[in-house]
Amino acid sequence: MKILVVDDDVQLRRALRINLEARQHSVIEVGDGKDAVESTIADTPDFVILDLGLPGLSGAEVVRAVRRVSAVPILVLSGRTQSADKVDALDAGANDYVTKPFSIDELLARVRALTRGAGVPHHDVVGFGEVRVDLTRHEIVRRSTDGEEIVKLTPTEWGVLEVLVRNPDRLVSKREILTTVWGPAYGKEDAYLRLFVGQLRKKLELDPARPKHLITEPGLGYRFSQ
Amino acid sequence: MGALSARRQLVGLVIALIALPTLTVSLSSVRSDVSLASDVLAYQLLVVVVALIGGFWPAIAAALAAGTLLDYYFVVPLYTAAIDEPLHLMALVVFVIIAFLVSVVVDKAERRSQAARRSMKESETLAELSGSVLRGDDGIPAMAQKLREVFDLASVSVERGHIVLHRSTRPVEPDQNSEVSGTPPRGRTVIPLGDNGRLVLTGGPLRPADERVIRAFAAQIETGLAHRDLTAEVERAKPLEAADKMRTALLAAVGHDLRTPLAAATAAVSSLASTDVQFSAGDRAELVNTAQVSLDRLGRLVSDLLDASRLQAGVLAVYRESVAIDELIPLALDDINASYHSVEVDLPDDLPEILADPVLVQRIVANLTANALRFSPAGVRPRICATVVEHPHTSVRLRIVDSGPGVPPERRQAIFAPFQREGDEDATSGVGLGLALSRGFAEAMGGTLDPEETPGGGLTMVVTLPVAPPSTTLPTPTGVLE
Repeated sequence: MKILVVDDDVQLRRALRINLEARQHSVIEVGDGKDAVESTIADTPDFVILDLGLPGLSGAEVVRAVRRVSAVPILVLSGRTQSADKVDALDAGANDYVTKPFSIDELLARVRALTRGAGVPHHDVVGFGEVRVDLTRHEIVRRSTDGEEIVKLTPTEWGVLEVLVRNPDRLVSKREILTTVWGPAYGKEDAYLRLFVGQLRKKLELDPARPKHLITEPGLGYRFSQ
Repeated sequence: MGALSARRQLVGLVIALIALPTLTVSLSSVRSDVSLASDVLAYQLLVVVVALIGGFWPAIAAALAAGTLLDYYFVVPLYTAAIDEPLHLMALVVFVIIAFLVSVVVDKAERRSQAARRSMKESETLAELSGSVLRGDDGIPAMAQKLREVFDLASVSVERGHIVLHRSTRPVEPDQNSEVSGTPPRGRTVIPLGDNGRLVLTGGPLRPADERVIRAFAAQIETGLAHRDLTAEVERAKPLEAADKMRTALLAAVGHDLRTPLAAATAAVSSLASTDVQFSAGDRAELVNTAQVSLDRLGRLVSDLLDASRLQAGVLAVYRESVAIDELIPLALDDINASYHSVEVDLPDDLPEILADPVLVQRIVANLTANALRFSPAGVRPRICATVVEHPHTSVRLRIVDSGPGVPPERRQAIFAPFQREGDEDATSGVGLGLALSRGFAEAMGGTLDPEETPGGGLTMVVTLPVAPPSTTLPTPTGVLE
């Protein structure tokens, strides 16, 4: 896979290059937003890792410029604690983000999640925590101390769970869930979504107040993690 | 009675004085037995005209005079003032009554038109007032002046507590110096304005009818005062706002600069720990080096930040001793990995030692030289040279000279402010503490750091530090600054 790494810090670029090359990817390094946009056009990378704090163009501007010419997955490195920049970049079309500092495994997991391709089921049966979800038979089994029990979900709950489970480790935006489950006319009904995710947590998580699998990304969306 | 101006009354009287004899003469020339009725009417007309012009008193005077003239010249017996017929007496009384009634009507009309004129003026004034408040200025000076002019007052002042916020006084005309300046104003009216404010009017008779307008003025001035208070509040908030903005920018810059090397080091170290892949020996060495370089940078930044806060708090420890500059320069160049050949060093052989903290001097020189190297065009070496100056104190002036793009004069002081870089979008130039720290260090040692233009273009940084007294033999800690 050809990966474009955009960061103004030479050291971080070097660390990423060594790691990605060791995993048989080819790496293009650039140091600013303008070069990033030019390289997207000239080199047609398969993946873009983009730092948000770049000199010149802002991260969101780079994402917007790249999106005009390419649908390449973009993973944003956010060196800031403010979520506004992340939200801007994701709204502009970035696919996911990692907050600095990050371990290389975390970054690689995000890269894998994004390149698996959205909506493609990689397993029909997904197990997490105490539950096993069979996506084809629409059946959920929950183990507990006194044996197994079937968990019943409403159709809407199924819809929400399916979108998340089919995109493991990937940030799924609120909008994406809403339009997939409710239809294209919905997209702003965040409160619905919170309600159904809350229901799902009650039924599936060990501790619904501290979810481990259906994780909220504040302001952005949800992420399913096994 | 007496709404009419004195001038009008006089005119009426003059008309009566001229017209009555004229009328009498002309009417008596055509007198006949049957002319009395028309004579009476002619006199009556004249009295009415006088009443219309001159009002009550001229009319009454004209009526009495006309009655007397009629009686004397036209009523039988002629040429006597005697009235032998009660009927004639009645005619005379009717005469006076008509004059009285007409003049009352005229007087009333005049009063009404005066009142109308006054209310028109009032509304104009009020409109003007609300206009000035709407225009946004607090309008207090304009309103005070207007109030003084409209009611012809000696002075109008807006006060709060013991402070006179504004005072408008009647200009003293040079030919009116008959009034003794110490005379207290005749009337003094105080109208409260909001919290502990008041409007003080002096001089000029105020009528109860004026109160309505004065109240309106007071209300407007009160609004103006509130406006003024709010504006002051906004002005006070401005520096706070700027400081807040500065702090946010600073936090973003520090955050970025701390996180960038931390991210690189974390990425490098965590990849060394990952088990899913085998790195070549070269790759491992590179990752270790990445971590090292980044952690060094982080370490430098942290100590710079600590020094900056020590400088700001005035607790930077400064140990001054006799220092030979020529011995420090190689150390400083070594700090920034610059070879002795990349910089032209030109120090006089007899350069005296300075009284300074060698560690701080070394950091100043390293920092300034690193900047000079960064901005020098390829092939032109920065220069370090030194001279001795005698004034105001015997000092060494160390110059670090580059031929780079230079700094425009208006920016030359601004570059010494900490965290110059805006936002967090540049990893190459660091957080922008270098110059601020260098100047802080120089000043902490009793010296200065100032920029000047390099002849032919570029920036020259001038470090001035005091020469060590000849007797100094042992290092003496001077303790903590300030």
